[in-house]
Formats: sequence, C-alpha cells, structure tokens
Amino acid sequence: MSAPLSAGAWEVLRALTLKIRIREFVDGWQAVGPWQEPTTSQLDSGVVRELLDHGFATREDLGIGRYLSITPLGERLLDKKTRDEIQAALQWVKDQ
Amino acid sequence: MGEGPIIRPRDLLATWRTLPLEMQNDTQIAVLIIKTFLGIDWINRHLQENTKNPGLLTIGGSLFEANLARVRIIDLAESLFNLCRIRGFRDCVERMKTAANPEPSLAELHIGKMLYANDWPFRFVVPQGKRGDNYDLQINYYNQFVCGDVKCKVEATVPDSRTITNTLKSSRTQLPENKPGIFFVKIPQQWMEHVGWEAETINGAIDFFEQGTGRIVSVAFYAEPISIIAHPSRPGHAMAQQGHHFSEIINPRRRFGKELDWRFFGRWRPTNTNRPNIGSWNAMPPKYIRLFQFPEGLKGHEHE
Repeated sequence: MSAPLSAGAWEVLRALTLKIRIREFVDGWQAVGPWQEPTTSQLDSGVVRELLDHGFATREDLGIGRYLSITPLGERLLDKKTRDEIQAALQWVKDQ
Repeated sequence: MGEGPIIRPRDLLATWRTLPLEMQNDTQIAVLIIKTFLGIDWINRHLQENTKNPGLLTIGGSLFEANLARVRIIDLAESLFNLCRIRGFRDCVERMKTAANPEPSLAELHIGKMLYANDWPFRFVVPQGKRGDNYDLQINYYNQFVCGDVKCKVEATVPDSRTITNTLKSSRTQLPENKPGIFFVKIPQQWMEHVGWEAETINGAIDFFEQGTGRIVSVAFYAEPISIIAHPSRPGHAMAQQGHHFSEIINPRRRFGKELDWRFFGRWRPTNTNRPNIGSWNAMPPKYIRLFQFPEGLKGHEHE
C-alpha cells in the first residue's frame, strides 16, 4: 500500500485527519476555518490531485460547498505511515 | 543548576545526513532532539504506544489522536531546540523529566516560545512553592521585572467564566505582592469547539479583576489550534502545525505600570499584512527554526 506521495500531499492528508476543512473554490482548494490565515491557506492543486488520483481523498458535497475528505484507503495509509515512522524513530534512538 | 546540552543547527544537519533515506523525516529528527534533552526513559514513559499512562504525546489511539500526538512531538522538539539557550531552561526540562504529567512544563515552554518570538528577555524560574514566590517565568518588560505563572489545568469541559475566575482567584497569592504579575492561562482544546468561548474566558478575567487585585497586571489566555500553512511561493509545500492564539486582558485596577499596556504577544504578528516579511510559511520569526518538513525550516541557518 505504499504510495510515492509528495511531502505536501502527506501534509494535506494529515490535515484532514486533524479536522481541518479543505474546501474547493472556483480557483482551487483552500483550507478554511477560524484559525486559517487566508494568505497562506491556498493549497497547491497538484497536491490535492495526487490524493484524488490515488483514491486517498475524495470530494464530498456537504450542501454548503464541496470539501475534501479522506477515504478509508487514505486513513489506512496514513495510520501506517504515522505509526511506522514513530516506531522506527523510537527504535533508532534506543539503538544509538 | 548549570545549563544543559546545546544543539546547533549544523550538528542537527550533520546527524540528519547520516540517517538512512527512509528515516529522513521530521518525526525522526524530533525524537532525536527529545532524547538529547529528556532521555530515553522519558520517551518510553510518554511517547510509546504501550506506556502505562498515555498522555498528550503518546502515539496511540485513533488516527486523529496519533496524528495530533505527532504534531505535538515535533512542536515539543522545536521548543527544546530553539529555547535551549534561555536562562533557566535546564530547570524547566528537569521538572518535565521528573513530573508524572509533562503538561505544565510543556505549557511553560509554549509561553517561552511566544516570549522568544516577541523578543522579550525572560528566564524560566523554579517555583518555590511559597506564598508570593511560586511562579514559572520572569520577564523583563521595558526594564520592569514581571513574574509570570502558567496555568494549564482549567478543569471544565465547556467554556465557563466562573471556572476561570476561581482558578485565577485561588492562584493570585502565588505571585509576589510587590512586583507586577501576569497569568498565562491555557484554554482546553475542547472549549474551542463552542461558539463564544473567547467572550466567556475574557469575562472570567474581568470578573477576577473586579474583585480588586492590584498585583496582577494582565491575564493572557492562549489556545493551541492546528492549522495548515501553505508556502506562499513554493507550490506543493504545506504543513499542518500547532499554532498559538492569544487574548490579553489588562487589569484596569493594576498597581504597577499604569502607563504601560502590559501586552506581550503583539510584537510578532504573522498575519499582519503591513509587514511584508510576515504571513510566512514559518508563521514564526526567522530566528525560530521549524522542524516540520525538516530540513526545510533550517534554510539560512545551516552554518550556525
């Protein structure tokens, strides 16, 4: 289930699991919410496309707009990566 | 207590280069830094999934919880790495090492991080546990020494001004009578899901001030929301990170510095569009080195 995702795509996937809402606008995708600074919330469309093309995220119509949501496949992928990374890091520092 | 280890950016980069490619990630570098300052036993107690007492930093539970813990781990490593030259840092870290719950020391580091970002000279101090001498920070505010106490245990699941007032009231005498004092109060994560939580917290401080304290000059509330920041000029670069949001309430009945506004967190405003160097990917001043997506945040510091 490994996927050669870019660093930006991983971060968007993480953001979705952290309850950050990412909305589709005419000119692209943007993270929205009270803590988002508009000038730095516009996401690269190529990064979002990566996730959509791999089936790790999907568009969801919530009635108030179209939002990006993580798929079960994306959840499994990210869960594995998160736990694998931390376990590898913990093992490495123990071995030093 | 003498000062502890110092990690220089160039040392960190050198270690990074020795890591196998599959281990070159921000989690790895964060765990390495935490080990340097807090030790492997501390890591086993607080980060490991199978620890007896899981907490804020334990990688376990749901995908949401595991990812939130990951963000906090990297954020902790950033604080340790950037603040290790601040006076009293070693004492703060020692308290964190020995405490069953690392949250109070973590909160002190977060306030230290924002004082550092706003260029206030300060030091961590050892709380003495005595009336008038039981606080965490000493800050030089325009040549006046301010005593700061960090509160991270507000016990209420929904926003409640009375809880705030009571917490402040019961803690007032921790700060000295003859020097200006400030409380930094961490707002519980779940409060931010309620509409009007900010007004409720502000009312809590106002009610506290109305009871007549003069030694406390202000109360600063802070929250730690997660947001995603995209690099404004580098397509594809984005990161989910823990931020800090502050509300500073000034005591109109204060006994000290009536001519001063006693605000600490307005000097550095990443969202201030009048300052073109801000609104940056870093969301912190350039001197504060980010570890998210390492080594991206180290650019410009490689030789330090």
